[in-house]
Amino acid sequence: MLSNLGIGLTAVLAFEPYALFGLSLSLPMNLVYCLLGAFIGTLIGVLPGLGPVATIAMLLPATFALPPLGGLIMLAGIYYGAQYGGSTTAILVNLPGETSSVVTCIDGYQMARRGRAGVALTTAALGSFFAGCVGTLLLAAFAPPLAELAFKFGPAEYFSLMVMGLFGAVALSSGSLLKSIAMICLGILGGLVGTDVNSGASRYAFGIPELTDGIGFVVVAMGVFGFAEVITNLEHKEEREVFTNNVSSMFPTRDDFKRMIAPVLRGTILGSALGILPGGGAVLASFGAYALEKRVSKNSAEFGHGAIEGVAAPESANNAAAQTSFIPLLTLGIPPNAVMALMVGAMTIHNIQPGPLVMTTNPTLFWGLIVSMWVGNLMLVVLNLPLIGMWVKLLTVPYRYLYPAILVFCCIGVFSVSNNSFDVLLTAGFGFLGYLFFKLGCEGAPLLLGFVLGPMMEENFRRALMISRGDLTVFFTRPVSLSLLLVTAVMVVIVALPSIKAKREEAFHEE
Amino acid sequence: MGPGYFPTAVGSVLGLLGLALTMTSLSAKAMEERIAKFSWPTLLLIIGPVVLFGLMLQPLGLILSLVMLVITSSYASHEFAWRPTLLNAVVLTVLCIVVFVWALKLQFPLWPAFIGDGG
Repeated sequence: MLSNLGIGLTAVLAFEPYALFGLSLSLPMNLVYCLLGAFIGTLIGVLPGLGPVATIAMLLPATFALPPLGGLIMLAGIYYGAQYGGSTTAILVNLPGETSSVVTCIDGYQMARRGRAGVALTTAALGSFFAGCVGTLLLAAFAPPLAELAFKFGPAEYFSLMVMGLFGAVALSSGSLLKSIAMICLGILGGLVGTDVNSGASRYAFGIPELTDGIGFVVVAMGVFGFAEVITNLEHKEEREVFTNNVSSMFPTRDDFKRMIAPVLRGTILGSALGILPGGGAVLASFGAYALEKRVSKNSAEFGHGAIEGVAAPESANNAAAQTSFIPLLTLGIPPNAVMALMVGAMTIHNIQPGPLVMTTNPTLFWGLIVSMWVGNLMLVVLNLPLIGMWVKLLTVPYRYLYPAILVFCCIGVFSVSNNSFDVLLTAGFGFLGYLFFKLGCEGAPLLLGFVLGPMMEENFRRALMISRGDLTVFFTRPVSLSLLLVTAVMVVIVALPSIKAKREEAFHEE
Repeated sequence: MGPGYFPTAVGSVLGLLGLALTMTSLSAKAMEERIAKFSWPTLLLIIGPVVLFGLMLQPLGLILSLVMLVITSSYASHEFAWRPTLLNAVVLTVLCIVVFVWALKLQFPLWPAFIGDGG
């Protein structure tokens, strides 16, 4: 592992010539991309009403011009930077900058009201940093053996694994189970639009030439997450109360530190475990960690009134999960959540097929990305604590100036992917669909996951049936495939049980 | 195993799910739910300018399209005012040109095709 991390470190620190204003400089460009990603991520995370999915979709085109490693480092930086930034908004404004920091609002904001905003921010930052380090180490430790396992998978196993991944994502998320599964199916069908690779037949294109190439996932992500979010945000009048006055005393007391340690550790463990699971990710991790802490803490009476544990645990958990959710992506090539689905797209655009092969064919990229995550987490702590003042200023920018900017970046981003105006119109259509889904209580994340996994599923499904000569039982006779499908069935049954259903709803409405 | 096999399978599942959802909501035990109200003006003022942007970009160029997008979409806000909106339009247009055209060197037609430049 050490030698591998060494490869990564040299890749991240490598100096490359770069021409800036006509001067040829030698700069560690990957570090620059990492810093840029972390910075932009924090910025986006701080702004309420702009999620990481929309952000990554929006900035994806800007990374096309970069080399593959640089582009991925920057996108990863945006993702974990957003987790950090989201907590700042949650603590200071009582608005979650991210869904994963919803629970941080509860105690973080109460701490701010008592004049302990600085301490809450430091706690969140230190907890996140610790969790980020652990998550990255886990990623480095678990990736090689998992990738080894993935090599033994045939198409039937891959298909079953994807089925499990999709159902798992639904089982662990909030909302109606039936509707979410329907959204997955709709996503898969959307992903199949265009020319069939095997037969050349055009599917669902309705004779529109622009559709024969398929629908880009950037189009779907920006429409459903970007535009629809803007519309729903605008429906509500904005009310913000920013606590800017007392951010001066940043340092937690000795007593605070003592109370922080156990929640941070528990949050990290829970977050790391949930991050690997399909559909887990940062949101569930932070909710779970808060609920757990409230139950086991001896200060449970203080929860809801500014308990430091209520900030430390969920913040560590969401950052740990953000790191470990890269494990299924990098080893199996299967995205566990919507953000990772976009990373799949980003890798494919750079001509890298995500999966177990990346580690062996492209070790510099693989280990470079992992090391960059650790470096990025360090940068976030070093950068963000002194920059808090600037982020607070940013919070006072009203939404009415922000959302036109979001629209502008989305439009330009979509256009530049294919240099085609048709995609802009298509995104507008998906924006309307996204708004409709929101009103109907259907979630966008399963749609996007199905969209990205759909073509992969079909390919493996066909290959499996080709090998078995059309015998559908192949999925049930191969032991690994069968067990994956059984796990899926058990998950669905458990979630559908009435008693569990009530518990699940309770977990997502924790107060 | 033609090109229609997998879509048909998934499509049938989707159809069954739709049927199941309809049945559960029609059953006697179902709670009455109402679809939240649509705010049509907001929807139109956000989606409309984006559609216009898509239609305008190639014939009229990036600068005019961006200014149109910012100004018309700003109208969707509860607190619309001309001066800050115009300022916002100028700032965003300049920012986009610096970032996308100048720094990232993406290919855009800047001005209307009949004025020249083409991009």
